[in-house]
Amino acid sequence: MKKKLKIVILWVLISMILTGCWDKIEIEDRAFVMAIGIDLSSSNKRYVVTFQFPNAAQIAKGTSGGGGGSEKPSFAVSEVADTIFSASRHISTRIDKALYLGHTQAIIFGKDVVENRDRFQEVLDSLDRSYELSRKVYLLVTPQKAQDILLKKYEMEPNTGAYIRDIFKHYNRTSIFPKIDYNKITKSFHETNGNAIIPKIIAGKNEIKIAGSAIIKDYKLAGWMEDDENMGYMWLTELVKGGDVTITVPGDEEDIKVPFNISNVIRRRSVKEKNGKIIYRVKLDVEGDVTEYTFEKHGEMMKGDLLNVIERKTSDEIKKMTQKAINRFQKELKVDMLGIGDYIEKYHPSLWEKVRKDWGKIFPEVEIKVDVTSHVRRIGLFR
Amino acid sequence: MIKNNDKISANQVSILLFTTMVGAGILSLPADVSKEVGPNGLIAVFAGGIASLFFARMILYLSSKFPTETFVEYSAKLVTKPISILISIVLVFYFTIFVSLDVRIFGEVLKIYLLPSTPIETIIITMLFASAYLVRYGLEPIARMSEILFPIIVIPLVLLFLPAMSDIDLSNFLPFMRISLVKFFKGMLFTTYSFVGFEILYLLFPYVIDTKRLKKGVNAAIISTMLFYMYITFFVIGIFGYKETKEQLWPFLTLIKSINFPVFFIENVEGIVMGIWTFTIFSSIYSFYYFAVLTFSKLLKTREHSYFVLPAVPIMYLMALIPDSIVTVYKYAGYVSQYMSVFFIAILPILLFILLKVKRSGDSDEEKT
Amino acid sequence: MGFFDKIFGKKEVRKKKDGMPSSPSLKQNLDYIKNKLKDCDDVIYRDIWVGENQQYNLAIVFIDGLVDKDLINDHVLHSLLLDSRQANPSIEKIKGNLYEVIKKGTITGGDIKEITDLDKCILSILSGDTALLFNGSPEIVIISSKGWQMRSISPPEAETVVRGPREGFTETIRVNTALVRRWIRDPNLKVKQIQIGERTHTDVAVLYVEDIVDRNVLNKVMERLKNIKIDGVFESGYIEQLIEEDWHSPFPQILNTERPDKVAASLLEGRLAILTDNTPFALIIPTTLATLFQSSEDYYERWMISSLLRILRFLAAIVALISPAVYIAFTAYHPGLIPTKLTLYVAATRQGIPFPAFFEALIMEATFELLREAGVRLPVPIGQTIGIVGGLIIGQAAVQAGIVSPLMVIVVAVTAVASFAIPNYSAAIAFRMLRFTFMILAAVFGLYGIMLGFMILLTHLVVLKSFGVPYLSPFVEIDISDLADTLIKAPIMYFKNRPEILNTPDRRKMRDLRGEKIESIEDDRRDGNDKK
Repeated sequence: MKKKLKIVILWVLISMILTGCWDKIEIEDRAFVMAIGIDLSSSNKRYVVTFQFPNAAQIAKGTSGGGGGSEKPSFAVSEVADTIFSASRHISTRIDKALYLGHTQAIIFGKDVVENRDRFQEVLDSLDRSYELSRKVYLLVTPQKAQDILLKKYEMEPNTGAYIRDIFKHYNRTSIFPKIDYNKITKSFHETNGNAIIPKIIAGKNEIKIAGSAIIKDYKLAGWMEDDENMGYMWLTELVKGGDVTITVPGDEEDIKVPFNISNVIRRRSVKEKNGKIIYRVKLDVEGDVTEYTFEKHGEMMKGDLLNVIERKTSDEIKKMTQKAINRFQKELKVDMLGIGDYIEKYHPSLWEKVRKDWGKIFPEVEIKVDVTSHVRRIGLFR
Repeated sequence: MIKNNDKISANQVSILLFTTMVGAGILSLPADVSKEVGPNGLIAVFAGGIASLFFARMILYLSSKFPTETFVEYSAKLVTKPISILISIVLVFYFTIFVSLDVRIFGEVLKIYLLPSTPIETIIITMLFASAYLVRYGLEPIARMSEILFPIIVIPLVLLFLPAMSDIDLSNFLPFMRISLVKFFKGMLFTTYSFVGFEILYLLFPYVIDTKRLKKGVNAAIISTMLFYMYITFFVIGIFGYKETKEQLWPFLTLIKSINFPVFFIENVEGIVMGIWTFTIFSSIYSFYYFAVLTFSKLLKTREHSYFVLPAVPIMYLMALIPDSIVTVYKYAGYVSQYMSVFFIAILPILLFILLKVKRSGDSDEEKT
Repeated sequence: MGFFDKIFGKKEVRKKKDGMPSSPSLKQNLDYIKNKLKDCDDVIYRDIWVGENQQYNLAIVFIDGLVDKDLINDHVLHSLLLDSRQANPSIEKIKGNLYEVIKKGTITGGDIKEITDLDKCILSILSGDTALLFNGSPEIVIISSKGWQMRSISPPEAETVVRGPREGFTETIRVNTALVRRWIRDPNLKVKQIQIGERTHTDVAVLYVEDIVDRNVLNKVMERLKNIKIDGVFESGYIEQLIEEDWHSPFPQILNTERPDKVAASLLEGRLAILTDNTPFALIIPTTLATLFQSSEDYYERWMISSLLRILRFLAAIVALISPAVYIAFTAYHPGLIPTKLTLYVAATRQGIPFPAFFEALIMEATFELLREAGVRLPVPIGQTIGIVGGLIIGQAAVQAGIVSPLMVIVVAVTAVASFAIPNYSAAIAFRMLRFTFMILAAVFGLYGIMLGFMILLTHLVVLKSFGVPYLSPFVEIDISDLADTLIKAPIMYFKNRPEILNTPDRRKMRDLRGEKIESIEDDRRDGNDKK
């Protein structure tokens, strides 16, 4: 009896094993999507979704040392569909491989998607629920069409997704775009109910450029931030991790442009309530090096108060940047993306109780004070 | 077949308790507490742990008064036979529900993260058979299995999170305790689902060799479980913040998916975590499974529990398939933890305790030995 | 041989009943023996006539090749035929007393005993002793003259060490017991010897240190040994398989070793050893999984390198067990779990390979096992050629032909190397076999299959016991001090006690001397400095 039972169980398990392998897809039969572009469609379906994936066969040739040949190193395919998910499925009617999104590095939104509140929310939701997509994906917005970026082949790195990822890797050399991945963006959307900053991408003729950012207010594109404004925002939100600030020091005949190479930033914040007015104070401690001055003044770096001048100028420059960002958010857009509400909620909960209900109205009235102290730590190899 | 004498040490009880308690709850715990108590999740887990400790010690005290009997037998002395049988049947049912819930949640998670097209029935039945294989051999191998799995579960999970330390924003735990006590208690109640498992103490006592060290063992087990949960809650809320945490189905797994692990050459540690988590859930399943079968065999007064091990597989299998979707699974889990768990964890021990005291004072002269 | 009788007293009695008592007549005795050993042409019968008038008839019987011819010539024949004549004894004394005189005064061989049972006499002859029969008295003198050609002591082949003794067991049990005794000069080291095999009558010796060994284990072992009823025992493997607890298990529940030092160390830990005649392998009981990863060298080297090697070996076991399975699971099921660059690389290398990952792995692993098996059976020089042909040429050709991916070849090679890093050959076999199970599970369920495999494997290990000791101890039923000699090997001064799991009566292994010593040296130094 017991033996028979054992045999039956064994038989069931073995038959299960033999009929198994439900999920097996050999690795060479998959297409590893590296970048996804999402645009709105002008036809009767809603989206144009573009998938870019590298041609594995081409990589194999590269590794075995053979010459490149005429094969394409990377493919990009577009599909028109009503939802993102159906696009990823329906596209399999046109390619010989199973799309796999687990290694996707970047998702690019065309301008029209971000401008349409409902569409953008649909897209975001589909990303949130996806179990294949990693939460370390980079989201980007382009003022062009996402399709245009992905359909091009770039000589430097034909695999566009990897290209974007690698640019993000060394973002702290410039700090001209925020390094925010999907995880942080979706967190921001959840916490502020629809506000976020997304890095901006544009395609040149032979390369791509990531710089600046798009401001999303209430799930809708509210504008773009460039250069100083963008960096000002990043100063205020502690996103600056490196890069440089160029300052102008008066020279003998002409002004000298001096780069201040940022090496460390510390931000301290405080909130005070004075006469019913909220004062939000940000203190930035910036450390860095001076890496260029001018040849004719070799040896003068140690003299006088040149370093003090440079430090002061740097502080002023940074302050100017932050002021631009504050103007944009507080005066123009009237939306709190500087984390002030969040700060008050956490550190001054009783104050938050008072203001939370009409924070939208109070925020533009908040007095934001920025103090910057800069320190030159190193001056290169010459005095 | 090797006969085991089915006696385990207090240390083993401690580890068995830990591995039983740490199970499916670990996935949803941070979301559950964040929903109710916001940034004070850590404190809620702590409070839940202390409360669990209190009740666990109470159950232990009760069963230590009847050192050679399991719950099925001694409850009959306290609350008359018919009621005792009724409660025991509910207890069997209760343990069985946990096996089914755990195995179902396990199947769902596995299906979502690793095996999207594999039928969930296959996952459930293989897991149940794997557990049945162990449960058949009785308590001693089960305790040993827990001892083996304990370091495999704890050490990698603790180490894995360390590189994510820099992503923690401590301000996510602010503001401190600015919620109503009612909400706080509700949040505490939600943590109990994660502490469920120490009810096995109702039955464990006669099988322990060094019962004197059992108190210490129970303390250690529940406190270490609490610390382990706090560790995970600390990282999840610390990185996501409670607003993001509460939106998620399984914040623990989402966290794993979103941390960058620069230290490892492996970018995605989900694989490792899913593997470890498989053991975690396995250790809960076999424990509940064993005690369900044990209670049942005690009810029928059979000598061997192993007769019921295989027949239980189809029952648990069918029960695991009752909920339509993952939403209903959690709805049922909520019912079970809110009603049945509270009954077995809190109400029943207090009730029995009072009855014991009344009985003891009634015939204190005879009992004093 | 006193204790031999003691243990087998009962059996002896029964045998005596069956046995043929010898008669005073030499002819009758010889006829009986000749009848029994009919058609055994290697048996030598030698009639001798001694005494002044050659009136006394004696006979010696032995087997050619099993006996030391020199010993018989010098100490039996020479004594009887020549030396006795020179002694010129008085006939009066000898008369009627010949047996006593010869036994006590003539034979110069060292080890003799007397018996009166012809069947036992035949058994002794068959084991290489020489029987001396007398006309006129039923006693038979058995002269121990075992002296056949045997292999000299040579370094162990399968368990070589860099640092440590180079002695290995030989095929002769007497030499082997001597090798162990040379390590432990303790009267408590007991060597209980019994014969197993109804036809082979193989000598089996159980070695233990009396006041250390756990009596329960000893009794269990003796009982199981006595219960063996088999016609022949040819290797210690027979004994191992007949007394092990669970024959379903792929894991060896009894450790075998050809190193006397390892046996001696195990004996002092509280284990016991079984030596089998004609086998250069000793069995060590009880065995746990952790002991399979110990090499005797671990104890001779200093603790750091030993600890690192231990960790390495455990990793090697895991690699040998699951690396092809992991390859299958990751490539065919979860490409999302490996780094992007690696994914693309693997996908690229697998382009155009006609087999699914599972078959690719299966083919390569089977090929590897094939090569290994072929190499083992071949003479050493050809075996190496096979290794080169198989490993390098087939691998290279398979990759170039596009039948397997280069990564697969690497995985197989790593698996192979890892499986050889496990010190115990039987344990390595277990891991190698289980590897295929894991591959099948991974091919069906991916990563979950591997975990499922682990659950079942761990369940099996957790249930398994070796002579009452849990196989996974000390990882289960944890004793902290025992853990010092598992995954790591702690410094030697931490091994103050014998392993807890072995339940030894005498637990203390080392007294706390070392700490004091170091302190005193430092004191001296300080004093010296002060003086300066």
